[in-house]
Parts: sequence; C-alpha cells; structure tokens
Amino acid sequence: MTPSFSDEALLRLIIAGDEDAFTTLYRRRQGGVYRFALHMSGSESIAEDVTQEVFMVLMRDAASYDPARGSLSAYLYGIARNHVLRCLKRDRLYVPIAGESDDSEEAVPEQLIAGDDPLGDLTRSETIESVRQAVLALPPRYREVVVLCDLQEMSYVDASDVLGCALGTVRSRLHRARAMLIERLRSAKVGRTAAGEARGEAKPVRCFI
Amino acid sequence: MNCETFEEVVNDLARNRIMETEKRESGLAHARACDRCAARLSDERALTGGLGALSASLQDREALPHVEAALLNAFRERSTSQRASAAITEPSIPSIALVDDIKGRRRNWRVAAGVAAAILLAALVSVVALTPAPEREQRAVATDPPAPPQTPPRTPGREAPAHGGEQAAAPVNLERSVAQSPSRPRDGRGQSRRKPRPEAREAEEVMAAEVATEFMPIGYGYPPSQMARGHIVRVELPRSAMTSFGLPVNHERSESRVKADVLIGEDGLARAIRFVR
Repeated sequence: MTPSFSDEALLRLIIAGDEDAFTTLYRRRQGGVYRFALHMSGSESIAEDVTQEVFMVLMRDAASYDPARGSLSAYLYGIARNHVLRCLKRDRLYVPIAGESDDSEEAVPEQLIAGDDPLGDLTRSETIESVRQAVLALPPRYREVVVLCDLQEMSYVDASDVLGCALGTVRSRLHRARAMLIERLRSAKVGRTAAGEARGEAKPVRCFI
Repeated sequence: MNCETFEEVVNDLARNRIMETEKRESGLAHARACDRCAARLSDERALTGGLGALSASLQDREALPHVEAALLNAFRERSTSQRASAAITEPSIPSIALVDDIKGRRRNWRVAAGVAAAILLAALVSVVALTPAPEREQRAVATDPPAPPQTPPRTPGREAPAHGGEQAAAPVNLERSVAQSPSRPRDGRGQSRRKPRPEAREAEEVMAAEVATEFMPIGYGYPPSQMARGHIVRVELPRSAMTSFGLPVNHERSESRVKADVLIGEDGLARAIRFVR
C-alpha cells in the first residue's frame, strides 16, 4: 500500500514507527543517495557508509525535516553531502589527484579514437573513466554541483536547496566547474596524443574526450 | 548576441535545458557565425555527452542489500526501545489495571456529578417550597428524617448516589477501610446521617479492638491509597509469611497462624496486605 505514498506521507508513517513506510522510502531514495556519494567520493565503501548514515539520521531526526525548506529528497542529499564532505576531509586517499589520473591513462590513448567499431565498447568505457577521474579531481564545491546538476540531473532549485546556497551561485559554480572539466580533459587529451604519437600510433581525434 | 552573452547561455544550450526560445535561437545563431563560440559549444556538448555516459554507467548502482538489512534492524530496535521508554513513562502497572483505574475514575466522576446535580436540585426545590410558607421551614428543620411528600426529589437525589450507592455495593470504600481511621470527619458525618446496621456495628467494634499494620503493597501495583475501589478479604496465614514483608517473627511461633487482611483490586488481583492481631 505504501509504495504509492508521497515522500512526506511516508515520513509521517516512519515517525509513527511504520517499518513498511521506512522500507518503501529507503528503496525509493537509496539509489540516488548512493550514487551521489559514489560520484563524490569515488569509493563504494564510503558510498555505502554515507547511505546508511543518511537513513540512520532520517530514522533519528525525521521530525526535524521542514517541508518549507525543500523536498525530502533534497533533505536526504543535504545529509549525504555533509557526510561525504566529512569523509573526504577525514580520508583524502579516496580522491585521486589529477596527476595520477593522467599517468594511469597514458597507456590507453585509443580511447580518443572515433569510428572504430570493434573498439567501441572499450572506447566508451575509457571515456567514462576519464570523465570520472576528471570529476573526482574537481574541488568538492565544484564537484558537488556537477554531480547534482549533471550526473543526478537535479534542477538548479533543488540543487540550491541541497547545497544551501542561492540559485545564482549554483549556476555560476556549474559554469566554472564545467570549464574546469573541459580544460582538464583537454590537457589529458594532449598528453595522451603526445604519448600515442611517440609510439607512432597517432590517429584522428573527434574531440577532447 | 555577442561572445560575452553567449557564454551565459552556453551551458544551458549544451545541456538542453529549458530556456527562452529567443535566447536559444540567438545563441545558436551566434555560434554559427563565430568559430570560437562554435568550438566552445562543441566542447560543452562533448562534456555533456561524457557526463551523460558516466551517469548512465552507474545508473543501476545502489547500496548492497546488507545496508538495508542493517537499517531495518536498527529501525526495529529503535521502535522497540521507543515503545519500552513510553511504557516506562507510564505508571509501572499492568495495562488491565490501568484501564480499570481509568474506568473507576470515570465512574467516580459520574457519581460526583450526579451528587452535585442532586444537591443543586434539592436546594432549588427547597428554596421554592420554603419561600411562601416560613412555618413549614421551621418544622422541616426541627424534624429531620421524614422528607415532606411535596419534595420527593430531595431524598433519593441526595441519598442515592452519595451514600446509598456505596453502602449497597459490596466493594469497600478504600479511603475509609484502608486508612482505618474512625475519627475522620467523613466517617463521622456519614454515621450521623444514618442508622448503622447491627452487623456493621459489630464489625466496626471488632475492628476497633484489633491492632493492624499498615497496608503493604504486594508486587508492583498501585499503592493502596491510589486505588479507587476494591475488596478486603480476611485470611489466615502462617506467621512466617510476615518475614516476606520485613516484619519480625518469633521463630518459636513461626508455625502458628496469623490473621491478615488482603486488599483485592477490581481486577481480582491482590494489591496489598496488612497483618492483624
């Protein structure tokens, strides 16, 4: 019966001790929270810890949620964000630095090759990996807007609720973050192209990724 | 649109976000006319594609089942502890006894309301009846018990709920029986109003001759003074039973019997006991 309930209705049931409501809300929202934490940290274990912590907080302080301050989804992402940032601060080893990602991709310059069908899957997966590394290399305050707005496809309004900042700030941070990503990926491409040319494997490139 | 204003819309153009049609058209027109901005839009679109691919690659990823299991366990434990703490904040008595007590209080409230209404009614009737005939008022004051026939509500109205009801019912009024204080003004007032039955008088004489301990609670029920109604049952117990309540016992006479009054609550459970000599 509870699957058709809104998040807010489920929350009221959770406060009353309804286990089914908690299960329904968890299954509805845990994926997004988990992926947000995974994109932010690059670590599955952190993502699991954060997901568990978010719903533990919901269990403990469900009554503190204020609908006037944003959706329940934004509330959950906000909790997740705080925990991720705490984890990143505590253990910076989970975030690879830019130099490492560049070095690790030097051996696979073929990821920039276009039009070679047998290598299509490999190219796609390597492209994804390079983008992932570039996102992880962003400073957290830029990373979080990219994760929320581009990877989680959240609206600017919801993102501003999660981040606790003005909508204009979200837009400007996203603009800056995307410019940083393009710059980083272009630099990586130049490095990979140079490495390929040194091995005599230069091939036409379609774009920077 | 120039290159500077194009920069403001390039993200939304590349991300296919909803935007004003006019801005969109002018932005695309500018990109067609400006090579630099066209390259900029191309880069942004490529980035959007890469981010979309990254997002899609993790679309099915979610927390492992053990996270859900751990959370559900925590939820159950929390619910259990909340229920337990809620029970602690209530009086630590069986729920049946609590319900009985609430019912008893409601009954008492109804009785009290009935008595108040009857007294008011009787007062009104007497005022109406006495005002035109002052001599009847003097006669009524002089001869108390027989109520005049023209004021029938007075007698049942005042007597029935306040005293008759309690006396006719088997249960003992605990405030009177537990405290066992004949000198209390309430008892004295009640006796002056009615003639005690012979057996009741005998019982009172016997009880006055007895020496009894205070009522001691049995188990974790309500203290006897907080019980609304109940029964007292006289029993005989081995004298050694007194040790259970911390009373000194002469071991030489531990096999002999001792009288005790057991206070039975409305739920039939023994609530308190006192030893009588």
